[in-house]
Amino acid sequence: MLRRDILHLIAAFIGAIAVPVVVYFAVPSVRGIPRLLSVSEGMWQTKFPSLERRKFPDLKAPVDIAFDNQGIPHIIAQNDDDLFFAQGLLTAYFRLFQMDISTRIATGRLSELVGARAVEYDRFFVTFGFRQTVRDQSAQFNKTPEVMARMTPFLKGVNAYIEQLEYRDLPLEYKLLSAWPEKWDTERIASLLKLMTFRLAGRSHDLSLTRALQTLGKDKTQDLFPEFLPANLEAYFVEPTGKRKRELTTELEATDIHIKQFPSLLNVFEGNGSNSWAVGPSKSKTGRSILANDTHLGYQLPAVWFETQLMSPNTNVYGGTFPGAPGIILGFNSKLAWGVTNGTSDVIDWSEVEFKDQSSNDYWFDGSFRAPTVMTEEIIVHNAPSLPVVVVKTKYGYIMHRENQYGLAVRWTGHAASDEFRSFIMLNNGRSIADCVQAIKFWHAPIQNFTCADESNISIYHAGGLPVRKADEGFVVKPGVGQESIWNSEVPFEEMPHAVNPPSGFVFSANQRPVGPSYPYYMSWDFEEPFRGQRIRHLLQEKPKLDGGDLMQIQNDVFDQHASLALPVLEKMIQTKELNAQENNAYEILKVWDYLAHANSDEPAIFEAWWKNIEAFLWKDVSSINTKWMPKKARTIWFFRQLEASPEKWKSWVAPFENGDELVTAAFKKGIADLSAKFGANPKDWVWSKVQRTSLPHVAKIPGLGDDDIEMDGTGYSVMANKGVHGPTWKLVVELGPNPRAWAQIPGGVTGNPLDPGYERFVSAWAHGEMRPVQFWQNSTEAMANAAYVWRWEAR
Amino acid sequence: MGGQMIAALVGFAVMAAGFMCFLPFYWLPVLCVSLGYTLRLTWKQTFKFAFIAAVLTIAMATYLDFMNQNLISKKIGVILLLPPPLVPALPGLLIAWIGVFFTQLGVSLRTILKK
Repeated sequence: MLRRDILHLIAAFIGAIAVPVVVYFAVPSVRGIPRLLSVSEGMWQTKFPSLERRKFPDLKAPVDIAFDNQGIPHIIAQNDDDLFFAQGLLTAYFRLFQMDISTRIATGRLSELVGARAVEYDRFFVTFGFRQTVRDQSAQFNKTPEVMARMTPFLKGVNAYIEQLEYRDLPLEYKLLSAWPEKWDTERIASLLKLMTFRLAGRSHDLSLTRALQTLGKDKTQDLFPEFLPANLEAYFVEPTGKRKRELTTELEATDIHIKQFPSLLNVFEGNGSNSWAVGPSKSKTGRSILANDTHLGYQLPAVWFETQLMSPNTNVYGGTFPGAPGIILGFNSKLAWGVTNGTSDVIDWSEVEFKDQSSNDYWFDGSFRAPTVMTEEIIVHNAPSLPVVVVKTKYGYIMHRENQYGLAVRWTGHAASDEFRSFIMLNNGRSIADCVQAIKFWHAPIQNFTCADESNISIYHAGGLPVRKADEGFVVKPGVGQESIWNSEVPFEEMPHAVNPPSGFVFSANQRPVGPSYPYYMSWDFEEPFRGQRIRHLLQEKPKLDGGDLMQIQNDVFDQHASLALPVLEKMIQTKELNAQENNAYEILKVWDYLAHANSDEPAIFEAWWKNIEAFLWKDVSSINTKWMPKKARTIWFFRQLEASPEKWKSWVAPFENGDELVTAAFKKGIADLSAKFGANPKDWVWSKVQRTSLPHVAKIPGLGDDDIEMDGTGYSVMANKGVHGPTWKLVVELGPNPRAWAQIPGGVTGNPLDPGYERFVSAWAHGEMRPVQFWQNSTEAMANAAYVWRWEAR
Repeated sequence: MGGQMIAALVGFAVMAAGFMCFLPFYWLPVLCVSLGYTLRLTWKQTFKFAFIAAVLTIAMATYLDFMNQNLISKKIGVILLLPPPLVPALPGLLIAWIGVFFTQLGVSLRTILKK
């Protein structure tokens, strides 16, 4: 009897206690699953708690959240404090997890959420000095009263939402990761803005160029990576002014660098760009300015942007903001519209630092060894021990890598605390392009091309902190010898490239080089390809007058400008008699291509396969330095033009092929073989949307929470710059006037709840290039009359 | 015996309803231990009642999933590498496991404490 009872107890104990305890410690990732499965509070609770009628002690007066018939929230408050409190609360309600993870990246705190798989990512950001940068930026916010006037209520709103959360109300991602949101402070907002700065201005190929100089030699490197392309391949948007202060072609010199291994986690956000243009009254069918902007960032769900209107007695502005930042980042009010494209000027420099000895952190600077600032940071890892990281800051920048007594230091304009937030505040309330110019004087990083339009005027400014380099700075890693090795000033705002009401009647930018070689300062040798800029300029010139509909059409233009310039050259070179029947068939298809890259067409797939192999054959020396690094496509087109004109002169570049014709033909044959192997022998199956699959991954890359199979037109070199994983994440067209008319679109819905049917609300319309008419309400009466439904929050 | 069965049925129904509607997850083991301690159910009886609770739970989860356009099973299925129709079965399995082992733990505790 006793024995049976003991066996009973053992069996019950093993099943109820021992097995769960063993699993709990052996497989930490399953710890949250039982609660997740709970029907009363886990993943089956798919709705966020209703906020339809609530009272909050921090409110001074009632606030209405009026949702229009598209579900876009319009916040109507009676004072600015309440306005930004409500914005913070509402954004947290819809996008809390996105806000959280976006603000953990820059400060190297992803591992706290997702565990050891993010450690190297975190280590990179911590070593790059982001934690100190964020602390400095946060201090800068706190020193600026007009900034804190928005941030303080915004943070209160975010925290009011977080404080009242129960497990059942948590966003699904927290339940999946067994995590809980933390309270917010200004460091979170600083982190968000610094991450975006890095995404847009963290691009640097100085290390690859240094390697190229060492392995390919000066002449070839200079030919492959010139600072300037020929003017007929560029699309400058500012007339050249001034006189070049230095001759750059003599300065690309290999340097005596001891470091053998360069850090590999750079350029993680390569290729972020945008389109923006504005037509003035002389070019507009409405007789008033019209602005268009589509910002290109990595695709994700929830959408990168949170669309809203903010209304109070002092403010009435509509647009998109990064979830977690108060105010509107890009948008318009009744008088002023603004948009941006990434400036892509070079704002990162690298120096080789000499230390006193292998173990010392003291470094050489102006004739003596100096002590750096050393910080010990900790990376906390979910379900694993924490890791210490020693961060070393010198006058040359943060030490990213060390080999014996040498180190590699990075200096970035984004490391400095700055006042971009003041620019947003002034833009939100701006009334004219003069206000816009005043606003962007505060802008430092990342360098952006600001397009602004009021009813009668248009302007574009390449705004931000552009370092004034000495003769040999900016291109490659240089030995750090002291003050003379680092930049000491930035180009004055007035001397930054800009245009106001140009004779053409329009301003435009698509991340291309803004101005030609006569500009007095070094900007970069590494701007985006000029193709989108060329096409936008052509389309804006084509019609004498345009309206909002025309501008939306331009945004959706899928003409592949790169292909249109490259194919005529390649067609002259390909040896068609060398092609077999299948290759000939494919070539015939390509020959009659109208260069439009539709999702269901096969020509873009054939061209891309061909071009990819041309680059692989032609630039194999370069890809051995950095597999993700190539000479510009425009440079490659230039090369083929040279090759056509003087085959003997450039023959050595195409080796081991006898000549360019042979290379081009071999690349075509290889391209067709690649397509056949992957998609079958029939060219009808080489549909562009299958070759370039468009997807919107979840912000934390959680499988199942993204959208993986979207049919979408466009290539990276059409105005509709869809690269499959990257492209237009915010689209806006605004016709200015007494009652501005606007259209917008984002890939995703308002809500960030993956289990809400509204999560992907606008994805299909976005993928098809459809724009939504924006409901910009002039006052609360109009809002209340037109709202589909209203939430009311009251003071308690 | 009839009274004991009715009590068990009510107990498990309350447990399933709580799991589905209002009880935080961690109350389930407490409830089950109490049930086992009070009613001294056999393994066989416990299996039967846990099965009923599991079926009720699966039905509720399936209903909630259906009401949500099957988004839960579709998305969680991808995350957990399960065919979507099996996803609503997971809370059923959980409640069955807790129901059986914690109830029997309660029974054992009573046996030992009373000796």
